[in-house]
Amino acid sequence: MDAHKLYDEGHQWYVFGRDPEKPEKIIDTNQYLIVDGDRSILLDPGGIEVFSTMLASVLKYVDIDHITDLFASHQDPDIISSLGMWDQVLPKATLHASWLWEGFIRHFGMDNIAYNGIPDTGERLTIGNTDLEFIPAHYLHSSGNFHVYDPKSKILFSGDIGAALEPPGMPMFVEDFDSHVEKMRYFHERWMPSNDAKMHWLNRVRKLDIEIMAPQHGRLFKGEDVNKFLDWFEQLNVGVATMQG
Amino acid sequence: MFEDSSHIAAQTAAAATISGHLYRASMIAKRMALAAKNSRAMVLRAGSKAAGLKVISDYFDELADKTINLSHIINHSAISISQNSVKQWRTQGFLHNLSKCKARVGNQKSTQLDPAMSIGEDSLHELANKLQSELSSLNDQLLDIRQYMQSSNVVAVTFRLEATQTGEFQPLLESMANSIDGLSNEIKNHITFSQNQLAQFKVS
Ligand SMILES: [Fe+2]
Ligand SMILES: [Fe+2]
Repeated sequence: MDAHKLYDEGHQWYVFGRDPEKPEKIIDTNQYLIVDGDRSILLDPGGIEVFSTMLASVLKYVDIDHITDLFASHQDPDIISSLGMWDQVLPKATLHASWLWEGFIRHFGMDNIAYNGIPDTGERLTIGNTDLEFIPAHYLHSSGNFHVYDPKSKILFSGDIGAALEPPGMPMFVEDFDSHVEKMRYFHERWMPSNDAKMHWLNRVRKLDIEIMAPQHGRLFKGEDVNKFLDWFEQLNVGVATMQG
Repeated sequence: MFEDSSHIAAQTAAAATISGHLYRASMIAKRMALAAKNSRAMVLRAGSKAAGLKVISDYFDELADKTINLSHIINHSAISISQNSVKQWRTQGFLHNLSKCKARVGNQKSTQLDPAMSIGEDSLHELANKLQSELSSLNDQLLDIRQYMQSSNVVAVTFRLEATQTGEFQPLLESMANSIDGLSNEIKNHITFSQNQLAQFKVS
């Protein structure tokens, strides 16, 4: 599994992905790790199939006792079906996810880890000296859905928004936005259910100062490409499955 | 120890199967209880001619109730065994993943995973011990039900014999004896099936 350091000024952001060992039919995912001193949080730790690779990759950068928190943007299997494993390896950790999904996510197995249900309006979390904001992104695509914004590094973890489906081995960052669009179009048209929810999210996110937008699948957006993405998403008509007759 | 997950899967399925069969056995036992109540009513109507049948039908009634209760208990223990199996299955998966991870990270990081490894192994042993005792009580319970059904077959034979003394009631009482016999055999079949399923469990 590839790992890249995204940020390293006082605290660190890592992205893990492009896993060559994952079974072929499984969608490739990006997992993120934020480290500040002896605390760290894993964002969308991934499916059960990538657990052992993921754990080994993360331990390259942190000690096991320093993984104190987990975050799940929503309930999907590619996000958090590994929970039953993390639960046994990190019994003292806390999982942060929408309050709405608690009863469902527990089906993945959660005997030890504590569940912090994030209220619909969002919440802040401090990891070491780093303040993180859980930004509401409801109905994009899940009914209880959050992103993570770090105002210091100016990184927005955007879950399934900004996702692209590409063959394995693609670079970490978008290089040519215009050609990247076609790799995102159907995913957003089909997975994102509501133009209202989309506009709501855009209004919220446009107020943030974002240097990197980091989705859970595909490439990350940097600098100007972040705004290009927001503009492109705004004009995109989503929720197309009900319009197909 | 880890490569055994297909065996645990078979074990989980076997426990769930036993639970299903015992549920069906308990449904049949309910029909038996009804048959017992009917036979008692019939015996009362036959009056003095069927005096000898009174004791037998009371005993039969009691047997049916005991069978219902025991099959409920067995149904529950089978579910608990099935849950235990799922937990073992999951823990084995965890240990398997963890050892894959340990092989990949350096010595120092691998040591950090030792506590989780030993907690996992301990709980696996604990689950295995619990499974052993649950299996042996399930085995005993299945033998008990089989015993009840054998008694019930005997009751049917005696019932049929006694029925010959009851004149016009004989055909009715005889058909009742046949139904008791038939239902007992149906339950016995479920028990035999469940006992065969128990053989799926590796007793270590
Ligand atoms: Fe999703
Ligand atoms: Fe996803």
